[in-house]
Amino acid sequence: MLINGGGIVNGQPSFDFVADQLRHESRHWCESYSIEDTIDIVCRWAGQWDSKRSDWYLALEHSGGPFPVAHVLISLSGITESLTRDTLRNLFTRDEIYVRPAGKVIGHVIAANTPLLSWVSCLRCLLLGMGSLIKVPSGPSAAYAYLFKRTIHDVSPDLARLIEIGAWKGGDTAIESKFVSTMDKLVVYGSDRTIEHYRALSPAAMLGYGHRTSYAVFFGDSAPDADIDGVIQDVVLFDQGGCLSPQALFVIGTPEHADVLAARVHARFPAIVKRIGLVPRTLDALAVVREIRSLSSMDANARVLTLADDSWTIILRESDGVPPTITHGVLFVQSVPSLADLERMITSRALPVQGICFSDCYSSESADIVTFANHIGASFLAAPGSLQRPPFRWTQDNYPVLRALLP
Amino acid sequence: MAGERVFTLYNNSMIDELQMYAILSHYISTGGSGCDFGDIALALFRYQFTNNAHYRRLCEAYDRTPMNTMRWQEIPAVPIAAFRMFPMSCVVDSKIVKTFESSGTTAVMRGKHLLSELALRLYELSLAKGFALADRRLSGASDLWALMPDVSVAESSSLSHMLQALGATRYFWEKNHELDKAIAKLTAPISLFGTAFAFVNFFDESANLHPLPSGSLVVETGGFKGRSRAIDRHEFYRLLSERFAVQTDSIISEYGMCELASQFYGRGMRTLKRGPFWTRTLVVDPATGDELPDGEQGHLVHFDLANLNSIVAIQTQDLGRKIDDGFELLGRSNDVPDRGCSLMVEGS
Repeated sequence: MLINGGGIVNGQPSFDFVADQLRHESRHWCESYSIEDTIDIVCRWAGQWDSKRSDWYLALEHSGGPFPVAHVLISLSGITESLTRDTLRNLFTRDEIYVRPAGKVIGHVIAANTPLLSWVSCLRCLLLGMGSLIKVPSGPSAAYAYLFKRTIHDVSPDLARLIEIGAWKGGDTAIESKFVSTMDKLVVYGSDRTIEHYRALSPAAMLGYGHRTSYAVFFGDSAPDADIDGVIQDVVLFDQGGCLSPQALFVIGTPEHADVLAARVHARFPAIVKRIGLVPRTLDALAVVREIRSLSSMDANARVLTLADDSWTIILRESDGVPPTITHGVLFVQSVPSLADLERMITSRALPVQGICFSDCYSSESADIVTFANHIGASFLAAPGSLQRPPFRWTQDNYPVLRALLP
Repeated sequence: MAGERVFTLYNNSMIDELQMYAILSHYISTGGSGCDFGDIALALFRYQFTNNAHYRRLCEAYDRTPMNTMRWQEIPAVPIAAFRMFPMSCVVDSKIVKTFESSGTTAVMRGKHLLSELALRLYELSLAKGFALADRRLSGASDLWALMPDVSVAESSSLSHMLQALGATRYFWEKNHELDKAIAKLTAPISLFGTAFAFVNFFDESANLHPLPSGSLVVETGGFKGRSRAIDRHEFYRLLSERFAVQTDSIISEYGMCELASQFYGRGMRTLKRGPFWTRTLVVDPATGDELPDGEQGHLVHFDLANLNSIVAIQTQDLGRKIDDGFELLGRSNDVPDRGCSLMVEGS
């Protein structure tokens, strides 16, 4: 058990101690700094990332986090570029927040599948002047939360006092019941099982961000190379482990279109992998990839294309169903006759969809695309290469960005 | 004689099911004398490669054909999941007389082992011989009771079929109270078969001791699968030993699966399991499928010559390591680690 700024009393975690401290800091912040002041500090923080502040970049490189720096920076750019004064003021206005909930503390349970969950979750609380206790995942992903606090501290030591970071073994009901009971609200990122686990601990209020999947959609086989590169980047980032990682590329058209597009994706994949790097995989993940390759090779309606270094597998597949969501190294390419057919396929699986990236996003078919995205329940629609860099204002399931955090 | 015949068949791509059955049943019945496991495995591989298009595609993807496969260890193994997705059979549908299904929460998730009449015969020969070879005490004359459903209730259960084929005399599926009373009346030793969850449910329903007559054996087939509280192996064996008043050495663990025609057995608290002489187990690197040195931990690949018209080499997700002439079962691989908001779902 570790809580960064204290919280160990007689060798035991004291969530009361930490929560009281954070509540005190929250009240102090809201009395001393206005919403405008906070927006200003957050924008300064974003600006320093955009100006490529060298010691932060160095710290990120040496953080020990599991993702290549290029992966983190691509995703971070989506956040920092969208953290403008106007955008943040609009968020307060849209969510009708004029008075901040001083003296409140939010518990964040962070998953390890992407690096910046704790950053976004905590930034929202900071804007509201609320305290945050971040439960980091076990393993090297925890490093990102510590780095976040450090960079906030560099911009405003007072604001950094609203953040505490805790690490303890998940699943210990005694510890976690205490944690949950001392928080005014919980924000939980993780598997459906994790979310159920925390819900069962009866938190005062809770936001759960659970299982979601994402897809890419191309029309025909003539998409520009830049779009293909963009989709590959979206797939490779975080080793396909994020909820915005496309698991399949659907080609609206004929099997021949899919065949051509799969060959183009296969040909362009190595350059993108070389540019942004690979995330090391566990043995279990490698075993899953090997199994899916074996199973696909047995299927007369599938063709397996692997990269020369064996790092990624593209499976061209003919089917009238959605392919399995494998993650970590497998992209399915599949033709579908029409967008309406794809909508039927996806909705028939009742699989929660997070994001969709479209090639030719701004063509005359845009209206159809927006309707399609709404029908399948996607909460993020992006061009290839932008799916993994959502702006700060985006939230899963279209929750109101700030209001959703109010206890 | 048989060895010569196998050698001939090895070079004969036209081998048919009957010929293959003749070779395999002879090999199993006669204790393997005169034949080499590897020669027969390669002959069976050639037969299955020729007659199962799905398997042939897998082999070709890994550049393995009967022409370039010289050792049984090189025969490509099929992931168990393939039994859920494809008809893993070398014979036409009309020749299938029995289908065993793996357990699962939905019909879609169940693997199917399709058996022709000859395959079923070989399956029954294998399980009877394997049972007798596992522990000489099992082949005694004691009654065999089963804490599992009989085939009239679980027609597609390979375990229930096995118990019927072995001559189980009484079944106590969801009849814990009856079992309690029947044990109290016992005067002669029995062999009591059951799944782990059935035993735990039985113990949970009745706190009584149920001492079995001296010389009795308890055979547990593993698997909690969320159907009872799961307890660790030491605690489970302590309960079995205490409640049935048997030494742990009289507790036998059976390891099998519907995709295999043969079973592996272990005794007492030791985690070592052995199969009959017509099986082999390799421990492979989960990422590459390459064989690992003895003692290293990896996924288990079972080679079972009694898998006549399905597949001789089965890739499991069971973790284990090779020890002596058997293997130690270490659990199941976490094939799908928690991945935050991503999801592993079954394909359609």
